Amino acid sequence: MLILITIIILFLSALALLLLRLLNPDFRFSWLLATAGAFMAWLSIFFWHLDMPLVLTLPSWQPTTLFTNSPVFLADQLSWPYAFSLATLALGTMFTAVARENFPSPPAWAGVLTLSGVGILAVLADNPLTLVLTWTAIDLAEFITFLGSVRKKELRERIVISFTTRVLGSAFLLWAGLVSAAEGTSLNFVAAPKEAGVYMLIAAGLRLGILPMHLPFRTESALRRGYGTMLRLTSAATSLILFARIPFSSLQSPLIPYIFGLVALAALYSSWIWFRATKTLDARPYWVLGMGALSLIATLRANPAGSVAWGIALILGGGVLFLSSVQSKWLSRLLWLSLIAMSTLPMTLTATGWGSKVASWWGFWFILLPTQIFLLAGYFRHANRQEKATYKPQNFFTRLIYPLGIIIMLLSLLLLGFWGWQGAASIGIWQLGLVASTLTILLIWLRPRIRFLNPREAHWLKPSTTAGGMNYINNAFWSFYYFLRNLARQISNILESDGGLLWALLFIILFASLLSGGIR
Amino acid sequence: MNAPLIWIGFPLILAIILWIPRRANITALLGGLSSLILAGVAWLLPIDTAIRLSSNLSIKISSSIAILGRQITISPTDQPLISLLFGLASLWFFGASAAGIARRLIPLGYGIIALLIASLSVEPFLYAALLIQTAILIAIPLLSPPEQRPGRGIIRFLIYQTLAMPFILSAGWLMAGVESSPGDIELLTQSATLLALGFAFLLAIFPLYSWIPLLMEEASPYAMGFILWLLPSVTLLFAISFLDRYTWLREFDQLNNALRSAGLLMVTTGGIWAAFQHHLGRIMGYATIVNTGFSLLALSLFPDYKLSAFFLLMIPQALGLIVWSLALSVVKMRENSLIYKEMRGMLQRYPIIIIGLIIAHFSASGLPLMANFPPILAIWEGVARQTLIAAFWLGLGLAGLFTGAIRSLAIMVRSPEDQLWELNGSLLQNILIGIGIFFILILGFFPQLIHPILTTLPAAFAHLSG
Repeated sequence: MLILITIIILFLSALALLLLRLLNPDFRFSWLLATAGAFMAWLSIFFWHLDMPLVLTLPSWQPTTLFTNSPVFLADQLSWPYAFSLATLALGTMFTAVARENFPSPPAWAGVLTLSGVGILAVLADNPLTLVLTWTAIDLAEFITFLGSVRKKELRERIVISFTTRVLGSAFLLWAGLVSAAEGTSLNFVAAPKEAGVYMLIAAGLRLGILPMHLPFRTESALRRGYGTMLRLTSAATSLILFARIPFSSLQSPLIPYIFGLVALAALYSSWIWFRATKTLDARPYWVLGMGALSLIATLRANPAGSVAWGIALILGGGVLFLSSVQSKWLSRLLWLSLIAMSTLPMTLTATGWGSKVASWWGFWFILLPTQIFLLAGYFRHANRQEKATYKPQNFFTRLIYPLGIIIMLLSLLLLGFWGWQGAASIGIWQLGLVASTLTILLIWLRPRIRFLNPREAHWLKPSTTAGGMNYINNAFWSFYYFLRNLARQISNILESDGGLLWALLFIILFASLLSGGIR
Repeated sequence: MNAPLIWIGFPLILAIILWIPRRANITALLGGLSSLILAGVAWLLPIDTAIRLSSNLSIKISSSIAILGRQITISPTDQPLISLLFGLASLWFFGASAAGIARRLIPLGYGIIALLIASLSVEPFLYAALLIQTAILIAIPLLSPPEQRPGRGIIRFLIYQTLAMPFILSAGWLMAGVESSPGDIELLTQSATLLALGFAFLLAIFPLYSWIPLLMEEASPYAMGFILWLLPSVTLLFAISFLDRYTWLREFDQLNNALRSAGLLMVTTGGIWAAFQHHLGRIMGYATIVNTGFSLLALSLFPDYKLSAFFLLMIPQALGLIVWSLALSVVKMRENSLIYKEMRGMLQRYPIIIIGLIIAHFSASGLPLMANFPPILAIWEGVARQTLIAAFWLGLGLAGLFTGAIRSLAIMVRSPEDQLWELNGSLLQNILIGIGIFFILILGFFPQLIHPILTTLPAAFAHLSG
């Protein structure tokens, strides 16, 4: 019931905003309505903690002989932090909206509230079926939003490719369910056969762009800072929850060490580009990739709580940075609090991040630690360097409300370190945290002093024109596609031509003789 | 009063009367309402039971009528099925005016439905083949109007469907022998092979479906959609009645394998072919081939699922096909083409129509949240339990169909940068497609909404309903 209350608040607020926009375009309190809705939803999520785990079961799919699963939502130690983060992000988006150029923008706010509702439902998904349904809802929302806001046809094609990649991710999760069915069990998040685990990893990895590493849609739309941030991070959160849910018992494939290596390299590459990028919003996909990869690595180390910790850091840490659009020295310094939350030092959000219940090769630390260091140092750079509007010309109302959005997100980030889930407020592997923090400070100090660490141009953010490794894969794919297309056309032409009737009869005689043979 | 008169005789009368109105809107309204009433009556009115109207007046609807020594029987267990057929037909008829084909589709459609229902009810059942053939002949003027020169597709459609008749008649003749001497393996083999061939022609099983894409280029998409919904649906029901009637056929070792292989062949080839087309109509044609494939796969699962998967497919498939063919008809009427290169930037000119088209396409390819997803998932899981390789091929077919949708979408979003958003298409067209989109999405998340309708359907097949 509590879950339903939160969701209803979000959806009703969004609906009210849209209706008011249609019926009374001059309504002056839209922002207040949207913020009140976001705030009430945010507050209501605190109450979930009183009675966890909470289950919301929708009417089961009928007939039950066909459907072993139905949509079920579960708020527990793993999903609550994500739900809370998404509600915080929505609230933060609303508070910081007062400083945006497009203020007031009720349709965008309705979008933020709806996305937040769907996103919360997605992170609460208790089985793969529910997750696939909510994933598709978010994919369609993203698809329609970007299609409506982008004019260039090349960009529109990229949107279509991005949508396809995400659907492919959903297809992998469905395939995991089928593999599980073939083993005689129904796929769920409590126990999954070991044949299905890899497919679940690929599903979430593909949606996040980690496995294989890809950025199908690098240049984002004009809705970048407010609604765009909400959309990007909600979409990431809904994929990240799967990392926390995959039972480790299902990850026993011989492919896992290779996947670990690939993900670690993807993490290092993304973090390096994030560190060197000049424009924060352009580099946002690399932040998602880098932090998402760390979350996946925690899953591969049988550490679901660590996976959630990195995931929350991605959403709230990223959210507060990407939503910051007003220049202020002390607000920029406040953003440094995020760095503490992401430092893996004791009692911080990510303290459990490097924990592991399985042994892994020590050499990976030479990749994982630099990843964290580049991500943190990059975060520091972006917090201080991003191009923002100056704070002073804003009116009194803006100067009061805007910092509140930033502070709420930062406080939530710190709060979750103590109170997020069972096992929060832990010491963790403090030695690694200390090393990472020290090296991050060193890197920040070195950066202005070493030319190599200073980016000249963010040329890697532009679509590549050189023939790289990915181009070979691309060419091979298209060659195969054209081969199949020509083959299909040839067969079609034969069957549809005047002689097609004879060909069809020939096939029929062939089948009939095969059938008769089989019967005998 | 008797049942065949209500659900066969009355539609035949309507088939004549509905030529009279001059306005397509009136024809569509009358046709749709009549069909809805026939569906309601089939759902509510009991057969072979006295209904007391007043203290001294009661009526009873008898189930049979004798014509030229043959019996046409509609039993109470057939009523839900008839209700479903007329209910879905009413949706087609209501949309016919928006598709600009009401004055042709509705009278001919009533004739076709009446004959196909008669084919399911006639005894001896061998006459069903003749009734189906008559229905196919009536479909010819619907697909190829007299003023239009017949193309290759219509001729091939006629040839393939006509070839089915001798095979089914011969199979029926042999089956009488199998019943009298069930141990005769030779006879059994011959009759099963002939029956399979007959249904292969009727259901347009690979490679006998070449008429579908050809005809999709020649005929009205809406008329084609109607035929591609009705013919396979009734043919499959006819096939199920065979399974229900003959124990030896039901217990035939190779039956499930044959159904599964045929279904997979349809889904895989239809899906892959759909991925490479440049004509929106042809893509829909291949999607209907995939639909038939799924129905065959659902039948192959009857030892596990009985008929529930098969019936669960019927409404979402029909709904998707109505929206898809209506959207195609609107585009064809206004743009006079369905070729890819003419479709650039259509999304901004016909947003609701094109979204309807794409949503119907997504639904056919089993995208989550769409109406076809729950039944497709159930069938896919059932197939995976038997063999994962078959499930992979099925996935390949779906991926092909989805690729077709993405290619169409990629073309349609490619508008010039100065192109403004417009809302073309009539209000009726946009409203009907909008309603269709809504129901496709609702059924994708709440498939249990149609469950009450489906629970009574399998009763028509006593031996298969479990």
